[in-house]
Amino acid sequence: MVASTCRRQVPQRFIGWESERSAMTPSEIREEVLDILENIAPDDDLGGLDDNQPFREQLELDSMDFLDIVMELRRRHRVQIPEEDYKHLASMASTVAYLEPKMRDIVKA
Amino acid sequence: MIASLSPSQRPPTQRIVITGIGLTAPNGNDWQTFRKHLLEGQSGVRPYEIRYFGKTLAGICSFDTLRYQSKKDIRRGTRAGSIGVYASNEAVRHAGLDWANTDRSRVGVYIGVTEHGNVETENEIYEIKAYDYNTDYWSHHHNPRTVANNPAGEIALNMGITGPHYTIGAACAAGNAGLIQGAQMLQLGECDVALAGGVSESIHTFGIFASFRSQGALASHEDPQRASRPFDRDRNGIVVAEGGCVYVLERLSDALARGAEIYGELVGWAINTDATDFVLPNPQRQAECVQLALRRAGLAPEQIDIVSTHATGTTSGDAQECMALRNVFQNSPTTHFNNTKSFIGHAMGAAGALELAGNLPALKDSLCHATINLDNIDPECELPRLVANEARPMGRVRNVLNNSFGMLGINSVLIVQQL
Repeated sequence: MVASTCRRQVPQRFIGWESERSAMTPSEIREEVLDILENIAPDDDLGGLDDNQPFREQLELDSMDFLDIVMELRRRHRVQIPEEDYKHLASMASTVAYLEPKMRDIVKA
Repeated sequence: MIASLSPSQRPPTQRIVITGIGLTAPNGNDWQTFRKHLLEGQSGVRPYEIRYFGKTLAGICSFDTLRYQSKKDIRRGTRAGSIGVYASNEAVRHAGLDWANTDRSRVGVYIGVTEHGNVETENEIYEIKAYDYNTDYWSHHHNPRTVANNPAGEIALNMGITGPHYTIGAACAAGNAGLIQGAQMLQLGECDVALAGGVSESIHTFGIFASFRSQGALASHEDPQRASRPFDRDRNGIVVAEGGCVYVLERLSDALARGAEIYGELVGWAINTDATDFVLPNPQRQAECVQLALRRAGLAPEQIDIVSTHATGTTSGDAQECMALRNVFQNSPTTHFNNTKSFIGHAMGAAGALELAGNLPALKDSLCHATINLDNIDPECELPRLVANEARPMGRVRNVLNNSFGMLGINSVLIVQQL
């Protein structure tokens, strides 16, 4: 089923968070976005990423890569991000802030 | 044009030569290694497993994917694209072109493919199975990966080529067809440098294995390296392979002007169609294709020193091709025959280009590599001077004729001459 598969694709460190009924913290969301970025930009060093600077100024990302972020969040957590909200994915800080309530909603569902 | 004049009568601007070769094959990732292993009888067929289908055999390439691409390029693109990028960069380097100062708008990319898009489509369907086939989870990468021009387009993107690029879909005749297209575009003045040849990622689609097995045309053998055995009485089908081979083609006048080393001249070619069956070959049309290429090259059958056969190891196909070849070459006292698929399997869209590359060094070293795994010749595959199991020294090798045939009755023949 979809739900079980989604759980299967969540990194090991998040296994069990649903059953504990605790929302992902901002730092956990950041870690998850970082994990997605590592797959999308495998040649980039993400160690020095500045959360407050736009991704595009720090990484080799294009529009297809941002769609990858959207797709991965959908696949891993069933988070739906409408096109008009893509602008919130500009930096790590804005992405985490945007995702926090959505991640919480998923846990409560 | 090419049909009306013998090669030496054509103006240098209409004579097309090979000045560079880049390749990856299951038994070698450069031209020299590939040739060495063909002469030594070294196979590249190995055990292989693919989803749904299970265990089988395949020709698998092991080139350095990161030599010319980033990890992101590889993630973004296709295996066929990576193979094409590797082979094209190797070819340009081999040709000694001053690439930094080459006008990329005058470079054309012409890549033969048997099929393209099956791998990615199968992958996507496999992925969305985990989401109850909800197409919301279908990747946005699907279209750019599966468009038919993808492998040629990835080459152009990687190398900054702004001239024409496209693939030539020609089933298993595609490797020759890519070369022929490149040569014709040079003659027409559409480009000054053609990157031409063929690629195959076919081992990454389970469908091709399953379809050949359903057709009774997939090889099996307890020893993988013995599985691809064209002309042998006990052959039982095709070993599917991946691979790629791209040539730098130039007009003779341009090659001479820059002092390039020339590895052979494309002196004659032909493509025709059986128009008789989806899969079964037609030896009469194959023979007509060979004869047309000979006429265009201004050559008689006895002037062909080596025929690089297409034979794939199927019961019917090998016998039919041999019938066609006996028809054309029955009175030739000099022509030798060999087969490269016996070493690497059937590299589909790359097959014709790779098999030609395997034979081209003969123009210099006068050695004819063999067809291996030939223990008991099938009487229907009898050919005079079939070079079996061990490479054979020859006298001067002046002309190599390369056969490459495919489903839906497409036949292609290419003749390369020592310059």
